[in-house]
Amino acid sequence: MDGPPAQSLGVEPVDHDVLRKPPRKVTDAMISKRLIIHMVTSAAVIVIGTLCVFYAEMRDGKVTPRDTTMTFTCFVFFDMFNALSCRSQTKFIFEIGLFSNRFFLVAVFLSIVGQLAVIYFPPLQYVFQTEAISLTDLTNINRTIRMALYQKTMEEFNKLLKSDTIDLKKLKTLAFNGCPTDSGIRSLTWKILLNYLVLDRTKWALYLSKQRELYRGYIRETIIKPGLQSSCQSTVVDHPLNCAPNSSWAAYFKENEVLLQIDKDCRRLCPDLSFFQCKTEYPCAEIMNQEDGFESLRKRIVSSSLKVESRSQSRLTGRLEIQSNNKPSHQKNNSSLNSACDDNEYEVLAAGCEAHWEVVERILFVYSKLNSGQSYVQGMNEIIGPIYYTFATDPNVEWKEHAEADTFYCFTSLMTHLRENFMKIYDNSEFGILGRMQKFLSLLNKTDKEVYDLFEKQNLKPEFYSFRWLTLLLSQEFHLPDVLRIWDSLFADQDQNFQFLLYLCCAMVTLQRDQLLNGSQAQNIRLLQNYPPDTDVHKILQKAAELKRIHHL
Amino acid sequence: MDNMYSYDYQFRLIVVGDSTVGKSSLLRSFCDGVFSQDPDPTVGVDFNVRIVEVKPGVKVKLQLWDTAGQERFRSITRAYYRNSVGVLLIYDTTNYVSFTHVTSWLNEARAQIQPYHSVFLLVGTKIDRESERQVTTEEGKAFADFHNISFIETSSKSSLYVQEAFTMIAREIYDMLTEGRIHVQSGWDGVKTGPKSANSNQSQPIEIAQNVQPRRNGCCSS
Repeated sequence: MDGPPAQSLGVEPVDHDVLRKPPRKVTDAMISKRLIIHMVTSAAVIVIGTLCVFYAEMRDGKVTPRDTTMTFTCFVFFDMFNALSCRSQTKFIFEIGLFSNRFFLVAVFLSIVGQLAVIYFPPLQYVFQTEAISLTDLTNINRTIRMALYQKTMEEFNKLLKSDTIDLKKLKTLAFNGCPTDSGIRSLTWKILLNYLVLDRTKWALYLSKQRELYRGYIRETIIKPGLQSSCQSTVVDHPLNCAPNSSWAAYFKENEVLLQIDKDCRRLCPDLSFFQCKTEYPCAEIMNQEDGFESLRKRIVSSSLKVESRSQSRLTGRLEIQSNNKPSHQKNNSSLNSACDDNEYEVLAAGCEAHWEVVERILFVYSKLNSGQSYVQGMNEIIGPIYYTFATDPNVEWKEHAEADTFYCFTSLMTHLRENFMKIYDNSEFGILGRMQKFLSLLNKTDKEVYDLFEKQNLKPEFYSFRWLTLLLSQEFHLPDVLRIWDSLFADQDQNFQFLLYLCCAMVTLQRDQLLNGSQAQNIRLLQNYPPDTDVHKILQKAAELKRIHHL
Repeated sequence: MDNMYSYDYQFRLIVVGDSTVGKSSLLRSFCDGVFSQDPDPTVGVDFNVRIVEVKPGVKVKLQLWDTAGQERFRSITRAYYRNSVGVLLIYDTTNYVSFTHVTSWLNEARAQIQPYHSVFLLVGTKIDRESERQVTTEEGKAFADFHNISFIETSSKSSLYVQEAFTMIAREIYDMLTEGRIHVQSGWDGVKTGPKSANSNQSQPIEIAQNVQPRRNGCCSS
């Protein structure tokens, strides 16, 4: 059954990377230790998987033709998947392209047809003692195999992440094809890919404690100290005549504007997800333990919005009540959306508790103060959200506890690549967002001329739809789990300045080309601006990898 | 979708104002009939379409461009003014600061739209939150009168006067079109004639348009 596929592996297209590899020692064995380990593990996966199916089928105590059929089919499909993964030792299947070896496809196809014939063709059924199995059985087999393969990916990640010096290149290859959601693998991988953690594992403990202490320092400097100062004088500020343009006060008010903006945007972070409205287990101790005079961000938002908005003393007191009445009603609105944390919705605003969105708000505020030239720009909340979510849901308590500080550093590191997108002064430079959109457009011209021409004819500019795609790394286009999966690939590719993102955007356009070619300009803008969020992102990723292989930038 | 409907004209409108004054909510209320409390912040520009009737038998397709409010995005959104025939200046009636910024939005729009004519409408939002109101109706009215533009207050949440706001500006543009103060011009997307009027030359609106502006009429029949 596996003969033809095995032979077709022999005509696998030449991997051009082979020229870039250093020469092999003559004394090295053909069958290296790595190869043996690989053989043993994949064999083990197949054997265990097949036995599991057999065991599951044999629960009734006797061996029926159905049991053997299931086991046999399972084994054959395992074999096919294994053959697929054998096509390259170093690259994943999407990198070399699913369709690049035609003989292999034919061979696998024939094997599958053969297998189906054995199951469903009566004369062969008689010879092989099999029996027809239902479609559900086939999908069950499929699921088992996928689980086994997933397990294998997990193992590979674990092996890499537990070695003393992490092989970044390998990690990137693995991550490019998606990180497992379990065991905090994604969280750890992102920290490495975003250059937060060094490759030498032995240095982590010291480095992390230093960085986290440093972040606590930032909080003290940017939030606690100014907060304490201002609260001492806050009684004076309420006086309308006392708004003299004192430089430190001007800065304070300017900051409040930024803070209000961050606050509004963080409150509406991922509204379809209850997570950000729930309270965190690890509120910022420094802030929670401050004495009463200290003005926390939360207080500052309430009072500053009052200061900015109120124009007379008499109205101030009236509005204070409104403000305090208003808060719980906002919470109520959210809770109707998020049934998951109904129980603790009122605790969110209780003293000593913080919601996850408030943590995100603090990180962004600290960031905006430390990077005053850039400050906060709408959309940054969409960039930081998925990172914080990943880190704060890490099953490992130690990582989870420090999610805030770790997110801050990873976000900062990510922003060094993205900051040009967010800054107006770069708009007209090659690296600014307009330049990026131009690059995307010329890539689209290469990858899908027909759609490109149509867009030209319809005067459908990339600004109409790709601005958000490129600025926010597609985080607003898809559901969160899909966004995380896309980011695995993007982060693995980030030293090329997110080039892969351009391919992803092209893939997104191309996958909708039938609709686009028949649509009017208005329909097309709407389609691209409201990209069907239920699209299978794996299809997009696969298409993008294919485009990347064919068209180099 | 829009090919299924025939319409006489297409007006392109742009919606501007500070961030979080409720631009996206207003459009969603108008186009989809739903209210969303906290939509994602707009990054760049969003796009919506709806057809309204400006007077019995005359249908106008409104192309609505919803812009991001934050300062950073102005250089991007600026490009959209030129091809717009109408500008909705939005402020939040519960946020005085957003009202004070309307002047700068108005000035920017005027500067960008030149040499084309356009119609402005001042829109106050969130009037369902009456107890939090900071900008009185009189203040809004006075501002609009001073700048000689129309004014309306709305609530996207209770969909109060949302419909009216868009019909109001559409009607005003249509009137200016029939009076000959705005023309269909090639190379400008602010106003276009729809497929209906291009096909049936007998219909009322095209007659008026022809009387006033016979210069270039059939060229925008697409």
